[in-house]
Amino acid sequence: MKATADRTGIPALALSTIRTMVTAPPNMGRVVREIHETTNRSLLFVSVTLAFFGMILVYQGCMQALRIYPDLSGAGEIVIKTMVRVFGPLVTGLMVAFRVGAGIAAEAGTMVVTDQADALVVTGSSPARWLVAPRFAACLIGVPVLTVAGICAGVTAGGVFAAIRFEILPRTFFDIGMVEWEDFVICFIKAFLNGATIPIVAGAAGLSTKNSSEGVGLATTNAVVNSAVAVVIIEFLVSFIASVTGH
Amino acid sequence: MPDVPAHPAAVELSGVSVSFGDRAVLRQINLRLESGLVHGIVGRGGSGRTTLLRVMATILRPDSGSISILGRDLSGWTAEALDGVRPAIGFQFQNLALFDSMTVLENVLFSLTGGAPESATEADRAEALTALDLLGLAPAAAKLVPELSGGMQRRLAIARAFAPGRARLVIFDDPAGGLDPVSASSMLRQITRRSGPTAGRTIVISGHDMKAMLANCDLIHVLHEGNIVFSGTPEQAVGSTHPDVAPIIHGMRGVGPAAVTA
Amino acid sequence: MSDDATIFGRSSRNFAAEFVAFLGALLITTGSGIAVVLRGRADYLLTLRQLRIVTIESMPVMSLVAVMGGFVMVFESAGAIESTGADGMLGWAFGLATLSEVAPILVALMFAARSGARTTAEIGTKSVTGQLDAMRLLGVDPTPRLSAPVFIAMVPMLPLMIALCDVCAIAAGTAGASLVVGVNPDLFVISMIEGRLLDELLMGLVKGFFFGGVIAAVSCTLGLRVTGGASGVGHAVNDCVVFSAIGVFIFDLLVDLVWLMVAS
Repeated sequence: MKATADRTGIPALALSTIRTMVTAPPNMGRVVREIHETTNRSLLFVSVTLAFFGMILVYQGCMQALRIYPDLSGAGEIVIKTMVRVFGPLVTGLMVAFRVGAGIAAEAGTMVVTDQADALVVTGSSPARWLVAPRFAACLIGVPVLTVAGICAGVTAGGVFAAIRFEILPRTFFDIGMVEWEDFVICFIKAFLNGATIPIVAGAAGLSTKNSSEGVGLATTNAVVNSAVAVVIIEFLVSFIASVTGH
Repeated sequence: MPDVPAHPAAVELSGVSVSFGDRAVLRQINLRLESGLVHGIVGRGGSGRTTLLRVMATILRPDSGSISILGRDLSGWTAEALDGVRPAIGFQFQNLALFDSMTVLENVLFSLTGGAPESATEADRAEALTALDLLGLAPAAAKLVPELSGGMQRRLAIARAFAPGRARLVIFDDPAGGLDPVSASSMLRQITRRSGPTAGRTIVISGHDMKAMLANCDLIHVLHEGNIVFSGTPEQAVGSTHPDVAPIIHGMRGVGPAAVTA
Repeated sequence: MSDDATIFGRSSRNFAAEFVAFLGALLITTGSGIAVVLRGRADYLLTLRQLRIVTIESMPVMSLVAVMGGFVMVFESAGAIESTGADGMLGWAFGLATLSEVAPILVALMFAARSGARTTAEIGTKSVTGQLDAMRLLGVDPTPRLSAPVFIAMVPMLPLMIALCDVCAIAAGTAGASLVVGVNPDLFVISMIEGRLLDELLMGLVKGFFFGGVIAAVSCTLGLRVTGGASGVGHAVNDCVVFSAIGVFIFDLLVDLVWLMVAS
């Protein structure tokens, strides 16, 4: 069947979602449930991947640093700064895109294929209002939380690894001296934008499902890839602006 | 009742066309449906019935033409105009499209509250339960949709379409499809007579069981290859000798060998 | 959506058992797949098809991400180098991090999301529609037709694609260095060359080899184990990307550990 009367491309969906947030904000209970879903599903996954990444950063960084000079006391600082500024939001965003994006698209796609998306429209709601907006609100909170958790996991794992492999004292490693307030701001901006973008991009992919159950599968894959690319683009844009403005 | 003033014509379509790709499904449809009556849309499969109904329900935007629903001009297809008229429209999908993650009661509450079931008041819930009761679904109120039988799902779709009391224009896309003639007649009777007060309501039904349609509708409209070729009373329809109308009226007596002729 | 057919989210009671079962299946699929490949019995046409699809579907996303990644890495490296004031080291610092870590990981993740997911969906659908059972009933081993072509396509192709993406990332890095950071592109490139980053480049490619293997193994195994109809396929696809990601990070660390230990 032809698409519903209300357009569901990414820009249109973004506008509809924001309009809904302002005019008819989603039910609080629903949002809380979605936060629980998002965080519950992703916390372990995000923590594990960032823990590995923390260790990777430490190992690479220290091995390279050792080539130049044997003092690794600054290693912890750099790892933490880079985690906060770049890799925390980036890797968390990608993992959330993989985990949460698929779920949103699958539900949206299934609703499209069974006409429930049109049923939403005719009963006075809309996919933006029912499917996307609650998850939008939930991810605005959930993704930053996951990012913080991920950074903690990554830094901790990195620190443990540093202590075991390179005998760097925890006292020396866990030094946030190099981290400035602007690093935290950049981190939160990226995390926030990730949270805002993933539900919309994934939702749009799900809502553009073409036909039958194969269409849903294709839409889900598109959702994951598109939201992951969106995360990388956000990373690029914020880094670019930060670099240009001297932060 | 929602704030939509009464209007002599529930649906006015003028020059409405819809194409999917290069396939023209509706061609320059001119149709006027009088308020307060039961209208039957008949035609062969593929003639565009579902598309026409979806346009009336504002789910599908026509490619061209003007459209006025319940007195509201929707040609601009603006969000404001649509939001103004959609609360007064009810629709039953051919495949029911029930919200399968919600309970029976929640489905009805959804259309009753215009998409915000969490904000339902006690009065709303009472209304919803009454509507379910009329269709014999009250005992199943807390059940999830997948737990229902096919017949119960159909009745739930009807209850949701009527958005208990609120809908002024209620559209049913082939509600009796796949049913045997006896059940089909019973289903149509249920929709047109027993599903709650029908005063002030305009009902549009599409179907192909001619006997049931002729018996239950006030006016019949024949759709043939994307055009409305007849609008009139059942008696007039039966008596029509129009080459595109007669085969449909007389050749399609519901499921069975007779339907193969014409 | 309350149904959670994925491992994370189920009660931990089942977790260990399922995890072990999955690892076992992973090893079996990998083993049989590689065995078929080595014996030269992989279906020729299906292998060509996989090679073609895998490259076409993934290259655009991967190169886009590589370009973005290149820019980000040069911006961030610039910040780090600034404090030491050594512009002449920017190319080296950038190349180091990008070629050895960032590019391979980002590119592999995108590959998993695109090609891995599609593979699981294809094989999973075959499983759900009964084609796999039909094959087995007829005594036909699905491996030469299903998993072997995937291994042949992913394992060698991913390093190749990482190499191409490295070029994209370096181009982006050079452009970023010159246009935004204000470092002379010649200086940038010389710094990269003088830094003798061949080691890092090779390490990145070797990682690609392992990443390809992980993604092939995970996507085939999950596809073959799909249960529960269309929604089961959906869950398997989701799991594929998730587990591939974890596998990528694990193997990244492993290659790091072994390589740098051997190198030093």
